[in-house]
Amino acid sequence: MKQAYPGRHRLRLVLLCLFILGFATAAFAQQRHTISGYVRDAATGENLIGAAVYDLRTGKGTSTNSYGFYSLSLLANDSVALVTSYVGYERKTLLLQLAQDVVHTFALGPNNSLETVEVVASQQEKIEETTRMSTISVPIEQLKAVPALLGEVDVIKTLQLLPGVQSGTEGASGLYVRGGGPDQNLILLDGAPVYNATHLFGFFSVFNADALNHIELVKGGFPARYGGRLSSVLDISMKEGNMNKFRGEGSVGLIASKLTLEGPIKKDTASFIVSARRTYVDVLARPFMKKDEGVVGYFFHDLNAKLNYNLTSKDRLYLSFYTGLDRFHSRYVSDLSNSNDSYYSKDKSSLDWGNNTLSLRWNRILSNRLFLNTTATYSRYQFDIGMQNESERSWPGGSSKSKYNLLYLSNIRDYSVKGDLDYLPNPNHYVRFGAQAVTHQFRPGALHMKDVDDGQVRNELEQGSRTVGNEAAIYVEDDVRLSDKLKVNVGARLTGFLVDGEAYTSLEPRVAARYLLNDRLALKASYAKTSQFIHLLTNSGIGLPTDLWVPATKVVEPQRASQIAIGAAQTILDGQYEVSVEGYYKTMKGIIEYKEGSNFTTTISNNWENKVTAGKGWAYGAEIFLQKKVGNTSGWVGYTLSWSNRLFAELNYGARFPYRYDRRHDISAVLFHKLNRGWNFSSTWVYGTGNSVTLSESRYLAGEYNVIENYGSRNSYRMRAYHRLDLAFSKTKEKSWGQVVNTVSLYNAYSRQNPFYMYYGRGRDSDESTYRQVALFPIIPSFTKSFKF
Amino acid sequence: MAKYKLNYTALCGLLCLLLLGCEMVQEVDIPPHTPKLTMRFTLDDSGEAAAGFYDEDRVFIGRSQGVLDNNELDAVANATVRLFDAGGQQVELYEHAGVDTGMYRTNWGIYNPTQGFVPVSGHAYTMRVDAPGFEGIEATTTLPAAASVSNALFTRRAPSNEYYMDMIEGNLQLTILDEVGKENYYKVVVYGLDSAYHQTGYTAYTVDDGNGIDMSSSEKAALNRIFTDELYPSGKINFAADVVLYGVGYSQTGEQVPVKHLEVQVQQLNRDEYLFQKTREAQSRNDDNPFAEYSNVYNNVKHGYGALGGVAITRVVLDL
Repeated sequence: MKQAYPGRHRLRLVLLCLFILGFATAAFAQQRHTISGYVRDAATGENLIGAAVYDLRTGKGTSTNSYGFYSLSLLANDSVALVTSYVGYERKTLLLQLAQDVVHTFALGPNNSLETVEVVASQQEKIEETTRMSTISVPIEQLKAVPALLGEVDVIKTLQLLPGVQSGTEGASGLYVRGGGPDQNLILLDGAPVYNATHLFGFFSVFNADALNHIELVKGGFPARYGGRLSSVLDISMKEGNMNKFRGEGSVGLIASKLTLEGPIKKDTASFIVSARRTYVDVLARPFMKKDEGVVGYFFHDLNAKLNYNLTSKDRLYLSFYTGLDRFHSRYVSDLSNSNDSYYSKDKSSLDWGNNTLSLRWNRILSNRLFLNTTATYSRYQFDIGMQNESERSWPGGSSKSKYNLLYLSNIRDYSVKGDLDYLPNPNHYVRFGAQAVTHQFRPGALHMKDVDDGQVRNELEQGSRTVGNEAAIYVEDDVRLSDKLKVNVGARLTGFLVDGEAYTSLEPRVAARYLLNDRLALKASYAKTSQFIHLLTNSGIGLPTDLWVPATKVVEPQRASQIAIGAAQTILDGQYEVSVEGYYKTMKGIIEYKEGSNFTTTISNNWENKVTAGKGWAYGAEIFLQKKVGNTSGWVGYTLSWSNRLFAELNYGARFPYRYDRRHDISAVLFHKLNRGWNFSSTWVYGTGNSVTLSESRYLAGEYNVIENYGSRNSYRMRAYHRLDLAFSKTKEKSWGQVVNTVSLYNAYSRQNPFYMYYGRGRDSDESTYRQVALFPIIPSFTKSFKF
Repeated sequence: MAKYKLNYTALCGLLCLLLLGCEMVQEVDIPPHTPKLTMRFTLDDSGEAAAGFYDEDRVFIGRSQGVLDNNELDAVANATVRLFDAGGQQVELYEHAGVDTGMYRTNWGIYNPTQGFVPVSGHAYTMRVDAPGFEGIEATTTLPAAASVSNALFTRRAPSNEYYMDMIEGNLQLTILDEVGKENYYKVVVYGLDSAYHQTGYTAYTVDDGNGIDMSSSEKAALNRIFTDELYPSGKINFAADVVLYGVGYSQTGEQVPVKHLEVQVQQLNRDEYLFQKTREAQSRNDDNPFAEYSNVYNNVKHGYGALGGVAITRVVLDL
C-alpha cells in the first residue's frame, strides 16, 4: 500500500528545476529595468490583491501578489505606459521612460462611474490571459450583497453558489468541492489553517465579512505553492486596517451584531483592525428563565484582530489573530431539603467548540524582482464536552459530599513556518518557490473523569493521548510565457510527513497551460497531484463539531489525488462578461470512513485506526460559469454536471456507491442590481439534484422482539430536488457622519419545502408506512441595519 | 417590563419562524421485496441453556418483508430446522415451541433442540432451514475455543450507596489468557447462584456504569459488553470491574433465596457472533440519528437473512 518514490522521481524533480531556472536565466540576455511596487486602495491603504499591472504599449503585464506587490521587468530605455486596474477602482496610468529601475506604488481610488463599463482594464488579470483555471475570487462587496439566511452574511454560503461547489444539507456551511469531502479543503485565514469553519452545527461560517479583504477559491489546477489538501484551497485574507484614518462599520441583525474598528496607529506606517461578532439569542432569552429552575443557552462569537507595520520601505510586518467559540451551556441547581434532611445539588454542563489562529507575517522586498514572505502560524481547533456535579446531603447523624467532573475533548493544533519567494525576472516568467514545515498535534479523543465522595476518589479515568506529525514541503513553480499564444504554469511540490516513525513522501507535479485561440478566447488544461496527511473522521457528513481530525499513521495511509481539467475561457460582449467551461476528472485514494457501526464514542483511547476503513473515490463532471463583474447589473450563473463515487472494500459489500453529496445537476444564478437613490437589489436562485440517501428496503425479526432493518445499497436513493430563491433589498442613506444601510431579505422566498432529512414512519392520519421528509426552513424574512463611519 | 415583552415577542416570533419547518410524505420507489426466511441462533458448548441467554439460546426462524409492507413482522412456525456437522451428518433436529391460542402467541418462531446434541469447540456446523413457500436457507459457523481464565477474584465490600444496602457489591478481577496474533472476542457476565449453585435470576451490573458519555461501543473490556482483544496485545487481559447485584433472588421453585455464590462466565464469541451483535448494536444506536451513516447488520445466511454464531463458555464459580 505504501508508495515509494525511487530515485528516478527525484531526478525528474531536479530536471524540472533546471528547466525552470534555465528559462529564467535566459531572460537576462537582454538589458532590462524593473518597475516594482504595490497597488493599494488610496483611501485605506489596503493592498489590492490580484490587480492587473501591464504595459499598454507592449501588452506585457503581471498581477499583484497576495500582498499587493508587483514587479515588471521591461526592456531598458523603452517608453512605458504602465496601467493598473482593479474591479471597482479607477484605472491609473504611469508614463515614463525606463532608464533605470523604478519603484512606484499605485494608490487607486474608487470608480464611481460603473454605468460606463471600462472595457479593457476594469478588472483583474483577464480570464483568458491567466494560466490558472478552476479559480474564482469573489469581491467582498458582492459577498456582502448576497441575500443571507437571517441576515448573516456568509462567505462559505456564497462560495456554494459557484460551480463545482456543493452545499451539503439545507442551510449548512459545508464545502464539498468537485466531489471531495469536507476535510479536503484547505481553508486559510491569513495563512493559518482553519479546521472547522462553521458555527451552530454548520449553519453559519466563522468568517466575518467585515474583517475580510480578499477571498479566492481554488478548485483544481493547484499551483505548486498550495498543498496539504486534495480538493480545494480557500485563501482568505483579512483586512490590514486603514492606514489613513479611523473608521468603523457594524451591523445589527436578528441573531447577531458585529462591529469593526480600524485605523492608523501611526499614519502611513502602522494600522490595526479589530472586528467582533456575537449572537444574542441567549441574552434575549435569559430574562425569561427562572434561575432557580436552571439556565440553558447558546451563543457563538468571533473576534478578528490584525496589526500591520511598515518597518522600512522594504519590510512590512503583519500580526493577525482570530478566535471563535460556540457554546451550549446549561446550569441547574436543585434544593430538595426538607425538615429532616437537606439535599443540595448543582449541575453544570457545556458543549464548546472553536478555532484559534495566530499568524505573523513578514514581507521583505529583497530586490525589485524578488519578494519574500515569511509566515509563522498557530492554529487550534478544539471540541469539548464538560459536565460537573456537586451535591451535599445531610441527615440526622450524618452528611456526605460528592463531586463529579467529566471532560471529553478532541483537538488539533498546528505550528507552521514557511517562506515564499516571488521572483519576476522578466514579463515572461513569474517564478515562485518556497518551503514549509508544519507540526500537527492531534488529540482525537481524550477523556478525564473524576468522581470524589467525601474527599475520597471513588473513580478516576484518564484516557487518550497525543500524536505528533511533522510535515514539510518545498515547491517551485514558474508562470512562463512560451509564446504570445502559449503560457504555462509548471511546477512541483515535494512533501513529506513523519508520524510515529513512519515516513510518507509525495512528489506532486503541477502543470497548467493556456493557449490563446484569439484575443478573447483561450483553451486551458491543468494537471495536479495532491496529497493530504490528515483525515477527518465523520459519520454524519454534515460537519458536526464531534468530527475528529486524525493523522495518517502506520496503519492509515495518507489521502492522495490526481486531477486533470480542460476548459475554455472567453470574455464576450466587449469584455463585460466572462464565460468559462471546464471539465474535470479526479481520482482519490486513501480516503477513510468509519466502518459500519463505529462512531466517535468508540475512539476514546488510540484505537480509532481500527474503526476506519480506507477506500477510493472518483469525481468527474463539467462546469459552466458566466459572470458579469461590472456595471449596474452584475452577477453570475453557474451550472455543474457532476458524478462522485466511492469504493470501500468493507462498505456496501465492496460495491461502488455514490458519495453522499453526489449531485448530478447544480445551478445557481446570482443577480446584483443598483437601483436609483441608494436602493440595491440582489437575488439568488439555486437548484440541485436531491442528496443521495440510504434507505431501508426490507426488515425481519432476529428473535421475537428484535427487528433488523435491511438497508439497500449505500446512497442509492435520492431526496427531492432542492431549489430556493432568496431576495434582498437594501437602501443606503448617506449621513453626515457616514452611511447607514438597511437591508430586508427573504430566505426561501417561495417557501419551498426542501428536504433536510428523511425517515421511515407512519402518518398521523393513517397506518400506512411511508418515507417522510423533513424540511427545515420555510420563508424566513430578516432585517439588518448596518452602518459605516 | 415593556422591554422584556418586546424581547419576548421578538424571540417567540423568531422561534416560530424556525419551527415552521414541516414534514411531508415523499414517494420513494422501493423495489419489490421477495420474502425470505431468516435465522438467528447462537451455538454454545454449555449443553444446556446458558444463564442469561434469551432469544439466542433457542433457534428463531422468521421471514422478511418489504419496508413499506404494513403487516406486522412475523415468525415462521412450520419450518424444518436441522443442524449438520462438517461431514454433512445431521446432528440435531429442532421443533417449533410456539403456542397459538387464538388470542395470543407465545414462543412463536422459537425452535427447541430434540436430540441434546452439544457442539464441540473448533468444529464447524451448518444449520439448514426449509419452509413451505420459501427458498431454503443455511448458515455455517465454527464454535470457538473456550477462553482460559488464570485468575478470578471477587473482593466484597460494603455497598457504596445507601440504596444498595440489600445488594452485593465488590470488585471483580479476572485474568483472561488471550491468544496473541489472533483477534478474539469476549464478553464477561456475572450471575448470582444460591447455596445449591442454582441460578437466582439476577445478573450483575457495573457500579456507576454511566460516566456521562455513552462508551458502550468502546472496545475496552467491561462487564456485560462485547469487546475484542485489540487493546490488550500482551496476551493477558486483566479485567477489573466494580460490580453489584441483588443479594436475594429466586429459586427454581419461586422462593426467595439468598445469593451465595457468583458464576462468572467468560464467553468467547466467534467472529460471526461478534459481528452480528456489534452491527445490531450499531444499527440500534443510529436509529434515532437521521444524519448518521446507516449500519447494516451482519448476515451469514445464504439465501436469507440473520446470523448463526458460536460461543464457548468458561465458567468460574466464586464463593461469597
